[in-house]
Amino acid sequence: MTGVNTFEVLSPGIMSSVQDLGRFGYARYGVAASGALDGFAVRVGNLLVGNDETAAVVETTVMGLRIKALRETVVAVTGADLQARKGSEPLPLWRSQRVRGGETLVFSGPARGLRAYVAVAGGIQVAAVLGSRSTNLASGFGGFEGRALRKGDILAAEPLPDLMRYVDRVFSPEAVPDYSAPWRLRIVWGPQEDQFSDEGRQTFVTASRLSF
Amino acid sequence: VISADLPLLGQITPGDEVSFEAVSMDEAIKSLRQMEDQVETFKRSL
Repeated sequence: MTGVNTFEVLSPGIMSSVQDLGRFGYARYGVAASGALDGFAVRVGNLLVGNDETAAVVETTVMGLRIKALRETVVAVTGADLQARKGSEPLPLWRSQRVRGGETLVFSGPARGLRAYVAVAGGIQVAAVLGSRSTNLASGFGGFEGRALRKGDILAAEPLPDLMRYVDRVFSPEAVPDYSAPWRLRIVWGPQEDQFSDEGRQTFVTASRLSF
Repeated sequence: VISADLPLLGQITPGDEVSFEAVSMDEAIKSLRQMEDQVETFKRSL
Protein backbone atom coordinates (compact mmCIF):
# COMPACT_ATOMS: atom_id res chain seq x y z
CA MET A 1 0.00 0.00 0.00
CA THR A 2 1.83 3.06 -1.25
CA GLY A 3 -0.17 6.22 -1.17
CA VAL A 4 0.10 9.93 -0.70
CA ASN A 5 -2.50 11.72 1.41
CA THR A 6 -4.92 13.14 -1.13
CA PHE A 7 -8.30 13.89 0.47
CA GLU A 8 -9.53 14.63 3.95
CA VAL A 9 -13.13 13.72 4.78
CA LEU A 10 -14.79 16.85 6.18
CA SER A 11 -18.15 15.08 6.33
CA PRO A 12 -19.06 11.55 5.18
CA GLY A 13 -22.66 12.56 4.51
CA ILE A 14 -25.35 9.95 4.91
CA MET A 15 -23.15 7.05 3.92
CA SER A 16 -19.78 6.88 2.17
CA SER A 17 -17.34 4.01 1.89
CA VAL A 18 -14.36 2.79 -0.10
CA GLN A 19 -15.40 0.22 -2.71
CA ASP A 20 -14.09 -1.47 -5.81
CA LEU A 21 -15.83 -3.94 -8.11
CA GLY A 22 -16.21 -6.52 -5.36
CA ARG A 23 -14.71 -9.51 -3.59
CA PHE A 24 -15.45 -12.54 -5.70
CA GLY A 25 -14.69 -16.20 -5.17
CA TYR A 26 -15.24 -16.48 -1.42
CA ALA A 27 -19.00 -16.96 -1.21
CA ARG A 28 -18.43 -20.63 -0.34
CA TYR A 29 -16.72 -19.42 2.86
CA GLY A 30 -19.60 -17.07 3.59
CA VAL A 31 -17.79 -13.95 2.39
CA ALA A 32 -20.11 -11.57 0.56
CA ALA A 33 -19.01 -9.88 -2.65
CA SER A 34 -19.54 -6.34 -1.31
CA GLY A 35 -18.33 -3.81 -3.87
CA ALA A 36 -19.91 -0.84 -5.54
CA LEU A 37 -23.55 -1.24 -6.48
CA ASP A 38 -23.04 0.59 -9.76
CA GLY A 39 -19.99 -1.14 -11.19
CA PHE A 40 -20.40 0.52 -14.56
CA ALA A 41 -19.98 3.98 -13.02
CA VAL A 42 -16.89 2.80 -11.13
CA ARG A 43 -15.25 1.36 -14.23
CA VAL A 44 -15.83 4.46 -16.32
CA GLY A 45 -14.76 6.79 -13.50
CA ASN A 46 -11.51 4.92 -13.04
CA LEU A 47 -10.75 4.92 -16.77
CA LEU A 48 -11.38 8.67 -16.95
CA VAL A 49 -8.69 9.40 -14.35
CA GLY A 50 -6.15 6.98 -15.81
CA ASN A 51 -6.69 4.11 -13.36
CA ASP A 52 -7.22 0.47 -13.95
CA GLU A 53 -11.01 0.02 -13.99
CA THR A 54 -10.82 -2.12 -10.85
CA ALA A 55 -9.23 0.57 -8.64
CA ALA A 56 -10.91 1.56 -5.38
CA VAL A 57 -13.17 4.62 -5.32
CA VAL A 58 -15.41 6.40 -2.82
CA GLU A 59 -19.08 5.42 -3.05
CA THR A 60 -21.39 8.01 -1.55
CA THR A 61 -25.12 7.74 -1.05
CA VAL A 62 -27.75 10.48 -1.28
CA MET A 63 -26.04 13.54 0.12
CA GLY A 64 -23.66 15.27 2.43
CA LEU A 65 -20.20 14.05 1.46
CA ARG A 66 -17.58 16.79 1.70
CA ILE A 67 -13.93 16.06 0.97
CA LYS A 68 -10.99 18.46 0.83
CA ALA A 69 -8.04 17.90 -1.48
CA LEU A 70 -4.70 17.83 0.32
CA ARG A 71 -2.72 18.08 -2.92
CA GLU A 72 -3.35 18.61 -6.61
CA THR A 73 -5.08 15.62 -8.16
CA VAL A 74 -7.52 14.53 -10.86
CA VAL A 75 -10.97 13.14 -10.06
CA ALA A 76 -14.02 11.97 -11.96
CA VAL A 77 -17.49 11.81 -10.44
CA THR A 78 -19.80 9.26 -12.04
CA GLY A 79 -23.06 7.52 -11.17
CA ALA A 80 -25.92 9.48 -9.65
CA ASP A 81 -26.28 13.22 -10.01
CA LEU A 82 -25.94 14.28 -6.37
CA GLN A 83 -25.35 17.90 -7.40
CA ALA A 84 -21.62 17.75 -6.86
CA ARG A 85 -19.73 21.01 -6.64
CA LYS A 86 -16.07 21.93 -6.53
CA GLY A 87 -16.05 24.88 -4.20
CA SER A 88 -18.98 26.93 -5.48
CA GLU A 89 -18.96 25.73 -9.10
CA PRO A 90 -20.99 22.75 -10.34
CA LEU A 91 -18.80 19.74 -11.06
CA PRO A 92 -19.58 18.13 -14.42
CA LEU A 93 -20.19 14.40 -14.13
CA TRP A 94 -18.56 11.66 -16.22
CA ARG A 95 -15.60 13.94 -16.95
CA SER A 96 -12.16 14.07 -15.33
CA GLN A 97 -11.36 17.26 -13.46
CA ARG A 98 -8.33 18.87 -12.00
CA VAL A 99 -8.65 19.56 -8.28
CA ARG A 100 -6.12 21.79 -6.56
CA GLY A 101 -4.90 21.33 -3.01
CA GLY A 102 -7.33 23.04 -0.63
CA GLU A 103 -10.34 22.73 -2.94
CA THR A 104 -13.43 21.00 -1.56
CA LEU A 105 -15.85 18.64 -3.29
CA VAL A 106 -19.39 18.80 -1.93
CA PHE A 107 -22.40 16.59 -2.72
CA SER A 108 -25.51 18.51 -1.78
CA GLY A 109 -28.32 16.10 -2.68
CA PRO A 110 -29.83 13.80 -5.26
CA ALA A 111 -31.17 15.13 -8.53
CA ARG A 112 -31.15 11.73 -10.25
CA GLY A 113 -30.08 8.39 -8.86
CA LEU A 114 -28.84 7.56 -5.40
CA ARG A 115 -25.14 6.72 -5.44
CA ALA A 116 -22.23 8.69 -6.83
CA TYR A 117 -18.65 7.56 -7.24
CA VAL A 118 -15.50 9.59 -6.81
CA ALA A 119 -12.60 8.09 -8.73
CA VAL A 120 -9.23 9.59 -7.87
CA ALA A 121 -6.14 9.35 -10.08
CA GLY A 122 -3.92 6.63 -8.65
CA GLY A 123 -6.86 4.89 -6.91
CA ILE A 124 -7.80 5.04 -3.23
CA GLN A 125 -5.05 3.14 -1.47
CA VAL A 126 -6.26 0.76 1.20
CA ALA A 127 -5.03 -2.78 1.81
CA ALA A 128 -6.62 -5.45 -0.35
CA VAL A 129 -8.34 -8.15 1.72
CA LEU A 130 -9.09 -11.43 -0.07
CA GLY A 131 -8.25 -9.72 -3.33
CA SER A 132 -10.47 -6.66 -2.98
CA ARG A 133 -10.39 -3.16 -1.53
CA SER A 134 -14.15 -3.11 -0.98
CA THR A 135 -15.55 -2.40 2.46
CA ASN A 136 -17.64 -5.23 3.85
CA LEU A 137 -19.74 -3.10 6.17
CA ALA A 138 -21.75 -5.95 7.68
CA SER A 139 -18.63 -7.90 8.70
CA GLY A 140 -16.40 -4.91 9.33
CA PHE A 141 -13.37 -5.61 7.16
CA GLY A 142 -11.81 -4.39 3.95
CA GLY A 143 -11.87 -0.88 2.56
CA PHE A 144 -11.03 1.89 5.00
CA GLU A 145 -10.60 0.14 8.37
CA GLY A 146 -13.61 -2.06 7.59
CA ARG A 147 -16.08 0.75 8.13
CA ALA A 148 -17.92 3.65 6.55
CA LEU A 149 -15.93 6.86 6.22
CA ARG A 150 -15.94 9.37 9.07
CA LYS A 151 -15.04 12.99 9.51
CA GLY A 152 -11.28 13.35 9.72
CA ASP A 153 -10.38 10.23 7.70
CA ILE A 154 -7.48 10.76 5.30
CA LEU A 155 -7.68 9.04 1.92
CA ALA A 156 -4.44 8.24 0.16
CA ALA A 157 -3.92 7.71 -3.56
CA GLU A 158 -0.95 6.44 -5.49
CA PRO A 159 0.93 9.39 -7.00
CA LEU A 160 0.83 9.28 -10.81
CA PRO A 161 3.43 11.04 -12.97
CA ASP A 162 2.23 13.65 -15.42
CA LEU A 163 -1.21 13.90 -13.84
CA MET A 164 -2.50 16.68 -16.06
CA ARG A 165 -2.74 14.43 -19.09
CA TYR A 166 -5.79 12.85 -17.44
CA VAL A 167 -7.69 16.15 -17.12
CA ASP A 168 -10.86 16.84 -19.13
CA ARG A 169 -11.41 13.38 -20.47
CA VAL A 170 -15.09 12.86 -21.21
CA PHE A 171 -17.38 9.85 -21.31
CA SER A 172 -19.84 10.47 -24.10
CA PRO A 173 -23.14 11.82 -22.69
CA GLU A 174 -25.20 9.52 -24.95
CA ALA A 175 -23.52 6.55 -23.30
CA VAL A 176 -24.31 7.66 -19.75
CA PRO A 177 -27.05 5.50 -18.20
CA ASP A 178 -30.44 7.12 -17.71
CA TYR A 179 -30.86 7.32 -13.95
CA SER A 180 -34.41 8.62 -13.91
CA ALA A 181 -37.72 7.01 -12.99
CA PRO A 182 -39.80 5.24 -14.15
CA TRP A 183 -37.27 2.41 -14.08
CA ARG A 184 -37.62 -0.59 -16.32
CA LEU A 185 -35.41 -3.49 -15.24
CA ARG A 186 -34.99 -6.57 -17.36
CA ILE A 187 -35.20 -9.95 -15.66
CA VAL A 188 -34.81 -13.58 -16.56
CA TRP A 189 -37.02 -16.13 -14.84
CA GLY A 190 -35.25 -18.23 -12.22
CA PRO A 191 -35.10 -22.02 -11.90
CA GLN A 192 -38.27 -21.98 -9.76
CA GLU A 193 -40.27 -20.31 -12.53
CA ASP A 194 -42.78 -23.16 -12.70
CA GLN A 195 -43.55 -22.79 -8.98
CA PHE A 196 -45.37 -19.56 -9.75
CA SER A 197 -48.79 -19.30 -11.36
CA ASP A 198 -49.20 -17.73 -14.80
CA GLU A 199 -51.18 -15.01 -13.12
CA GLY A 200 -48.42 -14.38 -10.56
CA ARG A 201 -45.78 -14.07 -13.25
CA GLN A 202 -48.05 -11.81 -15.25
CA THR A 203 -48.51 -9.55 -12.24
CA PHE A 204 -44.75 -9.40 -11.75
CA VAL A 205 -44.11 -8.05 -15.24
CA THR A 206 -47.08 -5.69 -15.38
CA ALA A 207 -47.07 -4.11 -11.91
CA SER A 208 -45.25 -0.82 -11.68
CA ARG A 209 -44.53 0.06 -8.10
CA LEU A 210 -41.93 -1.03 -5.65
CA SER A 211 -42.09 -0.35 -1.95
CA PHE A 212 -38.99 -0.20 0.15
CA VAL B 1 -32.45 -8.79 -12.76
CA ILE B 2 -30.03 -9.26 -15.65
CA SER B 3 -26.36 -8.34 -15.11
CA ALA B 4 -26.49 -5.48 -17.59
CA ASP B 5 -29.20 -3.77 -15.52
CA LEU B 6 -27.66 -4.39 -12.08
CA PRO B 7 -25.86 -1.01 -12.08
CA LEU B 8 -29.28 0.68 -12.27
CA LEU B 9 -30.67 -1.32 -9.36
CA GLY B 10 -28.44 0.54 -6.92
CA GLN B 11 -29.65 3.91 -8.21
CA ILE B 12 -33.39 3.54 -7.63
CA THR B 13 -34.68 6.09 -5.17
CA PRO B 14 -37.35 5.16 -2.61
CA GLY B 15 -40.77 6.03 -4.05
CA ASP B 16 -39.67 5.67 -7.69
CA GLU B 17 -41.83 3.73 -10.10
CA VAL B 18 -40.25 0.44 -11.17
CA SER B 19 -41.39 -2.28 -13.53
CA PHE B 20 -39.86 -5.55 -14.70
CA GLU B 21 -39.59 -6.90 -18.21
CA ALA B 22 -38.93 -10.59 -18.76
CA VAL B 23 -36.28 -11.30 -21.40
CA SER B 24 -34.63 -14.48 -22.68
CA MET B 25 -31.26 -15.67 -21.43
CA ASP B 26 -29.85 -14.93 -24.90
CA GLU B 27 -30.97 -11.34 -24.72
CA ALA B 28 -29.55 -11.02 -21.19
CA ILE B 29 -26.15 -12.28 -22.38
CA LYS B 30 -26.27 -10.02 -25.43
CA SER B 31 -26.99 -6.99 -23.24
CA LEU B 32 -24.07 -7.82 -20.96
CA ARG B 33 -21.77 -8.17 -23.99
CA GLN B 34 -22.95 -4.79 -25.25
CA MET B 35 -22.08 -3.21 -21.90
CA GLU B 36 -18.65 -4.84 -21.93
CA ASP B 37 -18.09 -3.65 -25.50
CA GLN B 38 -19.04 -0.14 -24.48
CA VAL B 39 -16.43 -0.12 -21.70
CA GLU B 40 -13.81 -1.67 -24.01
CA THR B 41 -14.48 0.86 -26.77
CA PHE B 42 -14.20 3.70 -24.29
CA LYS B 43 -10.95 2.30 -22.89
CA ARG B 44 -9.44 2.08 -26.36
CA SER B 45 -10.55 5.63 -27.18
CA LEU B 46 -8.51 7.13 -24.35
